[in-house]
Amino acid sequence: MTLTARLDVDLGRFALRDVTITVADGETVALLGPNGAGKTTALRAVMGLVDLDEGRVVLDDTVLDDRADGTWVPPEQRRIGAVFQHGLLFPHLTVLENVAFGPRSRGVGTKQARQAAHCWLEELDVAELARERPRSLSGGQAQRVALARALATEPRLLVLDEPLTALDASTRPEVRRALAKHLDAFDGSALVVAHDPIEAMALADRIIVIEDGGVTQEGTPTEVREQPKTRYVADVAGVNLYRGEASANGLRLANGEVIMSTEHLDGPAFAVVHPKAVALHANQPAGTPRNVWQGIVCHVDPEGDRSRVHVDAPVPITAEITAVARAELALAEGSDVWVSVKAAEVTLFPA
Amino acid sequence: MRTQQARRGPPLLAGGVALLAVLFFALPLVGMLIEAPWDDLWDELTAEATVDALKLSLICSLAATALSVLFGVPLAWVLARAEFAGRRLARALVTLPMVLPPVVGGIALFLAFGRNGFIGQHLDDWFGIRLPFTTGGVIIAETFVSMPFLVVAVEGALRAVDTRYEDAAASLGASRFTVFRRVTLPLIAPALIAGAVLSWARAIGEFGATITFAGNFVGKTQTMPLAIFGRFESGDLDGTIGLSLVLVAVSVAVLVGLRDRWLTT
Repeated sequence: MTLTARLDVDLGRFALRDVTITVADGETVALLGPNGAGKTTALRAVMGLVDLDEGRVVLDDTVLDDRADGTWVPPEQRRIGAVFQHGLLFPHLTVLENVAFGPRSRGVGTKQARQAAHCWLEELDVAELARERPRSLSGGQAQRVALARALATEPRLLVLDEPLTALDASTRPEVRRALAKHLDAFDGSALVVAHDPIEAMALADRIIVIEDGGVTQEGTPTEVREQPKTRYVADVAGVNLYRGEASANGLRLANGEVIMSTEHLDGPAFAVVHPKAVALHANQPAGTPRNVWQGIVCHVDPEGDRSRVHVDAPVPITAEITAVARAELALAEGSDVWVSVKAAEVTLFPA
Repeated sequence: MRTQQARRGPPLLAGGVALLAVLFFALPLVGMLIEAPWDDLWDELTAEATVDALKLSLICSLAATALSVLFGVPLAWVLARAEFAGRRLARALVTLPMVLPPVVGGIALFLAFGRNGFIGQHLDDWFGIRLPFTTGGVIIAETFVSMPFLVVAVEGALRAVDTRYEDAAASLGASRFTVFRRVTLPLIAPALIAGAVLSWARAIGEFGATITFAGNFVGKTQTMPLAIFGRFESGDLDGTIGLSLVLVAVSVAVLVGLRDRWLTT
């Protein structure tokens, strides 16, 4: 199931210009961007909830929207399942009726629809909530039910609009893991709008960055992280991200190196280090308890008055330094350099 | 000390004025209870004329409420959701009966739907339908004055509904009508019920438009308010009070029935 969309939308105060989104069969693509950039509008345009001014939306072999020849399939016939930011479970229906709503709308009998709904609730480990009203659910439970409701329609494409944003920080990792698991199991394609780059990287195979109504970068999470093309991407997504096992000391990587952190977690985790928090030194820095590695500069990307310096060290890392600092250190490809990161600058997230 | 005293309750002046206002509402009812002909009340209430008037009032007001819901809900939906030229004019026209003196409304209905009215004459010629001075006329008059209350309540609720619920329902495969029936309607149900009760209350109390458009025929167009006024004019004070108490009882019953919705703050 493949989505190809080219979107031009003019909402007056704000417009999407020539935003192209492709999602390959089985792939999960994240739309990442600042607030108000147009991510949600792009999603709504794909769903048919916003009119295109120009462009085309094709899912598999079905043209859903084509301004050139006037083809338009209404939202209820697009077979696109959606999970919204606040879940948007219908407040007047029980959890079970919420999940049965999709099958029933597609003509399945009441009893069968309820049975199917029950299966999906079990699949998402929330079967015991079947009789509850949405208002008595926690944010995490509501999002699981919302995912069950979307999956119960057996959609060809699953879209998720900031599914984790409304959750409090403590339930987010758990719901993110559940989402990741079910996105993997889901054999259709998925499109996720994300405001948080870590979420985008954890969930998606590919990231499309939308800023100010246009696509500014597209690539795998690694590409976006390592070669950010705009200031925004560099600031929020161009981070150093490591995966490993967290323990009292910090995060142990697969190669045995440990990144120390003042935060404490146990189990599989991500460590995030912003390049601005990475200091470079010509000589070994005096030792306070922090992360210090020796390495070789493998690449320098100048960007305005700043440069991103990629260092090949036991823990490969990218530093962002000013032009002045770069000149003082006389950095070039192949130079020896010392890297230090304060433990307080290392943020840990459960994986 | 002074500030503490002020915090304990409302200021003396406001409390006094409020008490006067409450008495203003309560005393007329008390007067009615004092003057009521308790001994003859049962005979008064079971008299054929009374029963006819009450029956007619209930039938006509319920029919007017049903018509208001049937036509008012789609109208409110269009006013709330559709963009079209003349929407403001349409809304003004719909709410006009709320401020228009009912007698004037009755005259206007008569001029349009009366037997010689520019619509009424065709209704008569083509379909044999005559509205003035019939029970149907009472229902039309009551609908005319009461539907705006329903439309205003429902339109407000429709504007307040988070339309993303409707988007979610559409993405789940629901047709527009299913979305309305299974999502929008339940979400606006409290406002719809409140609006229906308001318009029913307006319909059962209707006097001016009814008497000008439908006349005052016992058993046919004489609803309770008309019957009460008739007894009052003919000097039958006992009958007047008896019938009035019936309407008071009906109104109180409705208020009590809705206490969870309206009488709690």
